[in-house]
Amino acid sequence: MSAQTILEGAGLRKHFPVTKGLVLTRVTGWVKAVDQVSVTLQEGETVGLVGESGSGKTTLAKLFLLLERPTEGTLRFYGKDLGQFTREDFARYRQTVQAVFQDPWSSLNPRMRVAAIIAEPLPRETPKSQVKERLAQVLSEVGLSLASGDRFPHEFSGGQRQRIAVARALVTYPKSIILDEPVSALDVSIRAQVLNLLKDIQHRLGLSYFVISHDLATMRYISSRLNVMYAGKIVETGQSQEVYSNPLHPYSQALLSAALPLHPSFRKSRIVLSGEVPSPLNPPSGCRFHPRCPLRMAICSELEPLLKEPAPGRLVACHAVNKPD
Amino acid sequence: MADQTPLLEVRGLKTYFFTRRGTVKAVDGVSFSLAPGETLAVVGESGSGKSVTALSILRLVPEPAGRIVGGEVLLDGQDVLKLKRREMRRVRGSRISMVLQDPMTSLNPAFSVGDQVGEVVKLHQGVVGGELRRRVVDALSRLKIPSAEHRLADYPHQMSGGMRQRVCGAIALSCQPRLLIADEPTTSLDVTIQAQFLELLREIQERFHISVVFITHDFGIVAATAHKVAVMYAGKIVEIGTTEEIFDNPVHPYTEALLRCVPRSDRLEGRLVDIPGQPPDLANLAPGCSFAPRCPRAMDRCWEAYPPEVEISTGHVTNCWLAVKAP
Repeated sequence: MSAQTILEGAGLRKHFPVTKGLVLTRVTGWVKAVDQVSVTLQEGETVGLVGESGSGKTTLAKLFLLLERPTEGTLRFYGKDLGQFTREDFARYRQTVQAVFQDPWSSLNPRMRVAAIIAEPLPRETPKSQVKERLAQVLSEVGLSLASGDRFPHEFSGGQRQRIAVARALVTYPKSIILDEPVSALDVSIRAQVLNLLKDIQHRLGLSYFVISHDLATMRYISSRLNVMYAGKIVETGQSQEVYSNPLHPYSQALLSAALPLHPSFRKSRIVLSGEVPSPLNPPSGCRFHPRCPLRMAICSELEPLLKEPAPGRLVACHAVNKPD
Repeated sequence: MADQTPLLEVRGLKTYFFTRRGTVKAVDGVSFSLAPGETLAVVGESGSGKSVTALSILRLVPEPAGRIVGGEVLLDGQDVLKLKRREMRRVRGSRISMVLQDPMTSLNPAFSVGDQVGEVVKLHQGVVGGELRRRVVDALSRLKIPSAEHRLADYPHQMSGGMRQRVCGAIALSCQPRLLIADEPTTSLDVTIQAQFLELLREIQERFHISVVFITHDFGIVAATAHKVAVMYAGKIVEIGTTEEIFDNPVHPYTEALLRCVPRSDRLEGRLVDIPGQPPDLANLAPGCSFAPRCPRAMDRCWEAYPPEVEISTGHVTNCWLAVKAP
């Protein structure tokens, strides 16, 4: 069965202007939050995106949610370009691509009852009986009782609130959900509940997920394909298991090695990177990772490495990995 | 390490909050001891009382709602709970100091970094002028802040999260404390920056032989740093032991479940083991074991009475009826 591609971003860029002056505003620079990123999301798969803060992962999610428009590049939805979208296309897009955010304390309106929160994405003209029916369906889907609908968000714990957020995302029969750090704000014992729930729902409904996280353990558990992002660029992509067991890009290697051990006997000499994520306002020349890279060569500060395929299904942007011919 | 006299000994510590909803027993009879140079990780979920335990050691529990109602906190044999307020102020920052979770809120945005580190040194050691400046630069460079002498006039907003947390570390360690309390110091940091900070902390701890109480909810941090682990649930330590013992031979079902609900690379297939239900309401605790409602192996007597302490092996103690041998 060949899965259909739901979303396809090609060469996406999002640059934010930095301005000076109040009246005579002039642009003094550009923050290249997302720079030349290509990502696809197919039906039924889980694509993960890891990166540190400031790497542009949330901006990429905003592009996918149409909360920001790309400065450059194309975003296709079932093959149709964003530029040619009609009103109906936008409506369909927003129903098909839903979102769950990190913090269930701020993503649910405290003045609305849970039933109203969950039903809000449904079209206005939906008959009341249908809304009620759908509400009951999604509530049971996420393991909440029907009576929860009459209550307010503050009456729920973190894990339950995240379930409400998932229910709201499910209500429009989406094909894919963008999950921005879905469990980071939750307690350890509750994280497992929510991760299990997400996996179960995906299984039952055939959803595809685009998961953003900095938590490598969670990501490994949930994602089938993995993208590693650094300073606005994707530096490595591949099947999750392969990237985890054999990271090729030196940044992926350092990132995975910085992950905490699972057992005290695994305390090892980790690759501890010096320095910090560069400012996207003024990224380093050439490869953006070169000032922190242990494999740095002369060419790295001059020429920006392109994504190449050193192994089947793996793309890596690194001069040291992709030996020039 | 076991035969050394402990630097810190907490005995039967009880900190309650008196609220309109009733008495919240945030910390209810916590005991542990810590040898010089040792690291104890206190693990638990939010609301388990781990942060209140830390605040109680420093006597920083927000009054009047919260009060330490019982127990002893012995630092080098001296009960800090009996000190006068003025004497306690001399202890804080010099013999015991603390690093908090979020450097964005624990630093004052209106003062330069140099002033904030200098304040502590001036207060505790009466140093001023050029000597003070030298001490501040020392403190900052000990935390590997690059070109520290040029950053004294910087304000917190000019620094990154990792650098800010180092400044907090420099403040905490500027007067060579014997005990450092770190309350989730890396939660707000990125993965690679977290690794840097933990590494740095370990280096400094070894060099100056400091004891550390590490408050965390992350067993990865425990595995990376701690000698001993205390697992807290609903205001009580339910299991305590060496890190190896706790990881390899957890006895309490809560510890076991916590260890298993973390996704692990060697167990990727299938579902994660989750802990059903929610943490309990501390204002409204039922008699018996607080974990019983969520425990997969709860028995009748778990609901009736709180289990006694059972020593599994030297230093490994748990409060669970499962470990109590039938008479």
